[in-house]
Amino acid sequence: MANVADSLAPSSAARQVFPPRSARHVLGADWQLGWLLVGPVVLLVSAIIIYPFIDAILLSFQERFIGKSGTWVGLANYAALLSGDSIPWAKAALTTLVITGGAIAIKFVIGTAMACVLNQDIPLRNVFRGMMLLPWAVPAVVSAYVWRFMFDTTGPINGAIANFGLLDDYLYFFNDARLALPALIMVLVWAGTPFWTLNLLAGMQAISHELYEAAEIDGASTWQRFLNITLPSLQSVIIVTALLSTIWTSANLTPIFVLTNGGPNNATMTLPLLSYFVAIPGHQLGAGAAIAMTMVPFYLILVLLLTRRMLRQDS
Amino acid sequence: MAVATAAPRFRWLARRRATIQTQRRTIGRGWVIATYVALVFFVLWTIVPFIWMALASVKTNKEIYDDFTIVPRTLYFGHYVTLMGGKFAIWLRNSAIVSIAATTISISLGALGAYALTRLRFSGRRVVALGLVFTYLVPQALLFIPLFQVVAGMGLSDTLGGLILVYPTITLPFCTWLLMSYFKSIPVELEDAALIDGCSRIGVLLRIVLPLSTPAIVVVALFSFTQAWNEFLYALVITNSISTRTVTVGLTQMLGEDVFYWGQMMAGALITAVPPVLMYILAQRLVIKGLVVGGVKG
Repeated sequence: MANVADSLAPSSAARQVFPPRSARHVLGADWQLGWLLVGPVVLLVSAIIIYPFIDAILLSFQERFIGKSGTWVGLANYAALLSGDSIPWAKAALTTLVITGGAIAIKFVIGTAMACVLNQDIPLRNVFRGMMLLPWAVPAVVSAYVWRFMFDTTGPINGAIANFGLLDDYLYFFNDARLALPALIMVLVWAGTPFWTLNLLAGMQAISHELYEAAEIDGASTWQRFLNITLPSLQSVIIVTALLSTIWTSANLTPIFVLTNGGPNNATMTLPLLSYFVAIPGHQLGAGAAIAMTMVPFYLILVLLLTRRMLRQDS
Repeated sequence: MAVATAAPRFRWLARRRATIQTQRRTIGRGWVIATYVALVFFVLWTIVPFIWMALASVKTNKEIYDDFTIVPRTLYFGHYVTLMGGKFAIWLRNSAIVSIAATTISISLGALGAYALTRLRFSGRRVVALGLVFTYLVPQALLFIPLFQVVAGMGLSDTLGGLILVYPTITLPFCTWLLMSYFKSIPVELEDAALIDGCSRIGVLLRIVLPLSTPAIVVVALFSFTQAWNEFLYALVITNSISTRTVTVGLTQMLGEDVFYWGQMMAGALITAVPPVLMYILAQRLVIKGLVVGGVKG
């Protein structure tokens, strides 16, 4: 089939110039057109993702201020991070882990519950399905903004507190570290759960009904069926979703930027946000890049786990 | 039965009752109640912030700051008027330009690349496909510092051109990857038949693959637009004057002052959320109609 196709392709005349077969043997039957079509993608991706990534690695070994040329300082940027004198790197790393871990765990629980509900035969199911995915569709800036208002002294939460006289004073969510961190995690959960719901729901719909019927005949309770059929069947969906969600939650500085700006007293400062503050308002591109680079080993592990799984599913 | 014959319009109710009864049998009465309790909770949890935003955007300042009314007594559109009379309209326009341009670039390059990667045989194909997955997963947080330099080096700092250049980092691998999985679902026999009939590869792409894929391309374009529209970090880093901001960055600049103009800010947040939500609904329609997945099944 391929030979017929190739002999009819317009470029076949040009190909005769090369020794027949050998070039095509090495490079593949359609190498000219293939690279012509895929070339622009490869070029653009190299220019705006691969090159900048390598540049970031090099930058992390330089002292470089915005608008100035850099000088090589070896590992000095990293040493400064670990010594913790000027940049609270260790605290930010811990905060990143706490926020990401907390948000992922809660998203998993709520997302599973939400998917279970939406998988039942409830009235207006499609309307509810669409509605619950809304927080995922709106920009992160908008969701963070709306929640900042919800938590504000003029917002409904403090309004209820004042109205029912629950507390003596308003709750200043973002001025108190003990409140800011949970409030932030709650917003991340609100915005990120739909992604879990979507994936888990799709996974649940793919589970065969016969499994449930067989279990029911065997006298398994609803809870047992959930534990022994639903969860195990969703294992690979859960792992892929958890990996993606971990990458995106830990790297996304937008909600934190809008809600707390890293405060109070760096209680919600994560590594990406710290990297931004050091590099852009702080003008220290090299030190900022070094902070970003300290996250790379973590992402590398996640991405490798993820691509291995995705490719296995593909083939 | 009596219900159904007596009043046909309540037939759905009888049907509903029947499904609830079978449900009760399979998951138990307690779980059915739990399902509905959870449903109510999830609906409120999802929708209350949106409702609060919409209500605040049509309240007067007095209602927001002094009276603490929940439902506004009258619809006050002053916040929208002030907003659209100011810089906000320019930010909206900037976001639209950048998102449309980035989407157009990503879709046109992505469609050609995806076709080559799924249908043509050439060395390096697998490496490129794998590279796309990797590059899609590189978080923006790792790229914004060097991209800031790239854009500055090209003299595109603080321009929409700079944003159009960097936004494909988010949209291009994503579009190419999604289109690849769609092209894989189109039966290769269609293309082989056209090739035998004397159609060229480019002809196959233009006359068969692209027309068949139009709904999929539309959906991918909608998602790509949404991602570009929602983008915040690159726009924050690359633009810094009022006239080049995108709407997401513009919104956060309203937070700077000591007094928060919540009415205006919520009106702005609502307007910003409308395009992605519309696109999302439209994309969902296309997906549900089966236009996208398996358009040529059977």
